[in-house]
Amino acid sequence: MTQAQATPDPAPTGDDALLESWAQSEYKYGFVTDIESESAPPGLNEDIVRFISEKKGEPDWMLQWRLKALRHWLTMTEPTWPKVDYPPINYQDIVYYSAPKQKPALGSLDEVDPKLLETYEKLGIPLEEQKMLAGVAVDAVFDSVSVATTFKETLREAGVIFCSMSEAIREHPELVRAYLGSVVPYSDNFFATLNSAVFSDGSFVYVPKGVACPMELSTYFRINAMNTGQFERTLIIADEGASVSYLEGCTAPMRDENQLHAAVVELVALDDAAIKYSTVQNWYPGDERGVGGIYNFVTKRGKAAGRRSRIAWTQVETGSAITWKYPSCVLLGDESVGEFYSVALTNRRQQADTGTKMIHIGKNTRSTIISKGISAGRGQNTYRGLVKVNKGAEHARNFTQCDSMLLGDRCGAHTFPYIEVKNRTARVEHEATTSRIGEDQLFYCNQRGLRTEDAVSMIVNGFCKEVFRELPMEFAVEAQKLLDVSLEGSVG
Amino acid sequence: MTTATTSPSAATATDRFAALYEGARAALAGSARDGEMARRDAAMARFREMGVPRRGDEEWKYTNLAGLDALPFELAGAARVVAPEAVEPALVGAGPRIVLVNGRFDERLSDATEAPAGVTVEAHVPADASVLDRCTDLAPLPFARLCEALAPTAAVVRVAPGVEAAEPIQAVFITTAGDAPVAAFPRLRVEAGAGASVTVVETHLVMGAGATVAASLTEIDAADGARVVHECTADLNESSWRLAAIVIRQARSSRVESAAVATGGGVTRHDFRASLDGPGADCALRGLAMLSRDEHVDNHLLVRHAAPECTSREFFKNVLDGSSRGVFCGRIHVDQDAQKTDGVQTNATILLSDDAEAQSRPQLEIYADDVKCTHGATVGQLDEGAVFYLRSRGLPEARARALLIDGFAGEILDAYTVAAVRDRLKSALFGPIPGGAGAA
Repeated sequence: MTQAQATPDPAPTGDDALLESWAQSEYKYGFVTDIESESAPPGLNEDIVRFISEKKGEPDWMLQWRLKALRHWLTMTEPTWPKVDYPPINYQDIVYYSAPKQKPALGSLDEVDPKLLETYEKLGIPLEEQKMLAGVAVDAVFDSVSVATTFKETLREAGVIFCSMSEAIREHPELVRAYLGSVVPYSDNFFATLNSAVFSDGSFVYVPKGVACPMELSTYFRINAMNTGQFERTLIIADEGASVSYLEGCTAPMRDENQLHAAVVELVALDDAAIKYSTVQNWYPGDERGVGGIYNFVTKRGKAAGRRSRIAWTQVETGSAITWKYPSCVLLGDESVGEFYSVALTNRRQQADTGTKMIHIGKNTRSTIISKGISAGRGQNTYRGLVKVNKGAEHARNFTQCDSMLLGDRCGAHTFPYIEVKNRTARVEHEATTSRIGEDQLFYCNQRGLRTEDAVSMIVNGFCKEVFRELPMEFAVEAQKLLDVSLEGSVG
Repeated sequence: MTTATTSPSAATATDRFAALYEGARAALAGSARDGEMARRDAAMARFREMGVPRRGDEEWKYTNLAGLDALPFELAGAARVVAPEAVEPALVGAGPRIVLVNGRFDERLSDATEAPAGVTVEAHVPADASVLDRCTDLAPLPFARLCEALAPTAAVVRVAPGVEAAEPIQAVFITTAGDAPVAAFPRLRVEAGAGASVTVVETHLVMGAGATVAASLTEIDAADGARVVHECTADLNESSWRLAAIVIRQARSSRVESAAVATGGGVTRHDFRASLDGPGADCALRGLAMLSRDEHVDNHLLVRHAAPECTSREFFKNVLDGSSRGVFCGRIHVDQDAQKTDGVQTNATILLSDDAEAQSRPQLEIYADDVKCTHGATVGQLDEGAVFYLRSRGLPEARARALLIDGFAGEILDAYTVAAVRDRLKSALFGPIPGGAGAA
């Protein structure tokens, strides 16, 4: 475990002192598990892609798809439009594959490497306990390979397929072939294309017609081996009339080397299907000088392909040195609905450029965007969102609200919405405000006997309430705790 | 990344502008004063560096300038004579006026004899472009540099400290379109000394039906406590390109209001830039685009709060008919030291037809914590409930719709302080609508 030495700023006073102490609160989940891992040499070329594909025992069509993506990626340039700042990434320095040492297929948790289980326990997700808890199945991704999957039997009874992407490619190739890249094509953008070439693993969910998934599905991602880019690929399909709620939570070890994470998540909802995708992201954000921390360059997109299908993204982003992420909804089916609820917190030298895209194509489509940005320390928080109403999208409706809160005078809050309307029956509204915690608010709370820190926590949690109430119960609790931890001593 | 699709043999608009400059340089040098050619050369070099923006340029995402490449424009000629009767309808009052035809001072049409003491209205090339330099700190303005390089002269309005100019001063820029496409470079500078007060009406007229490209630059420099009202109108033809930059620098406790309404025209782009450099400065920008056919108006603004306790207000509205396109891109930028900033930005659009398009990007970029900034954008059609209400009170449908549009646009128009400008705009905008309020 690396202990980052904080360089103390000039002695702060009063409220500033609290702010500072929040800014300096140590990352709780910074530890590295020492497990022998099997890695590819650094660099990216066709051989590496072939190596990854072979390691995973993939069929030829998968390899060809990866190679097509790689060849396309080589013609692309890294985007510079996001409002984030980082040293150039040498893509030939990155290890594109790293897996915990292969073991024979596991029948039960007892066969899992005890050190892995220990890691999960440190993260607060003991599998045994979760087995007992009602309703949550965990597909834990340790680095790049899914090593333990629970509740499979229960899900199988309902007909739900919930497995790792590698397994899905082997066991359900017809589904993977039909849907992989159907929402985020291999040529989509620089990072998604990179992911298409080298993705290591991820989760696959298929909910058959008319089935309401009996439990909330959850994956904990964990980045471990040094210098390993994490390239997850997740595909969730809800067939006609199906519904599913998926939870994604992340923590990562503390270290000084920047890590690239370029995941792709694709959601497909057919007629009358509903997918709810919730994320709590708490990856290592770097220390107060901005050293270390995860680069989180993620492409997430959902296709509301059928009539009355619904896709909802909820995210609580508190980690990562840089977040570049726009969970989007393509509202293709008539009367389909897209929702986006987000809390993004940047502290220390974190940078976030995040938001959503709502593409209205079908008639009577509706979308809602609620975004809450909180900036503290020297964090830079940007909301960037697109609402697009195509010509045929009669009576499309969008409501967008993005609010920013600034805690401290060294941080920044930015709002860059894009609105494009090509149909006159559309109604699009966008509202944004920027504010700070008022001294009068704090004074009122103090005067009622609340400590300033509690008052700030209360006010910030209130500011985020509209988003938290969209989270599943367990996540809502975790999210509030996370915000409290992040808020420790941060009073403006 | 975009790649130019033109073949190497075909000149791009960038090359053509460069060639215009090469062609005009000798004549410009003939009348140049100290250092002027060096400034022109430097401005041209900066333009060439940037070139005519391509589609991949985020700042020009919604305004496609590819059409300029196909336009074999030449410099607007000097010899055209404009009859006073042709200008008469555009004049707004008896105050001093300066008229430039194709970038050259027209003594016959101008009348600055009435200028009160302390106010000068004359044509000369400014000795610097410090306001433009300041306003391009954050993002460049290629066409403003082009105008700086190529404008034969400029209309310069100066108001001495403490002087209040009672009558509005009018600057008229006429471009005479001919059979071949022409390029023009209108330039206006307004300098208001400490505590001075002035109203300037900027009028652009395109005469004739041919294609025109006008890269115009308006510089407003408001010293401590100065008050400047700037109202801009443009009567263009269907094949005109108007690429206008309005750059504003404000010192302590100054107030600047600037408004632009375009009627007709092909492609219009307004780049408003305001730099609030002194504490307590107050800036208000307004714009209205009422478009039909395939007209295109792109209002781009960047208001920089560089000092504490400044206020800015930006109100822009679009009413879009036919297959027109209305673009709004506004940004309030608050520097770290600009505490107590108060900024409000709104953009509202009404779509009247199936083929009209609206794009809106109201942006905030904030580095200070004690600020109050809001922005809002709406896109929709006329409220059918309100139309129904008016009809139920006995108004014909067309009249009811016109009344609602009038009310929507009126918020911008009524803020025009020069009555003659406001009335002319109203009759130009509402005249064609049957029963429109302006027709009465």
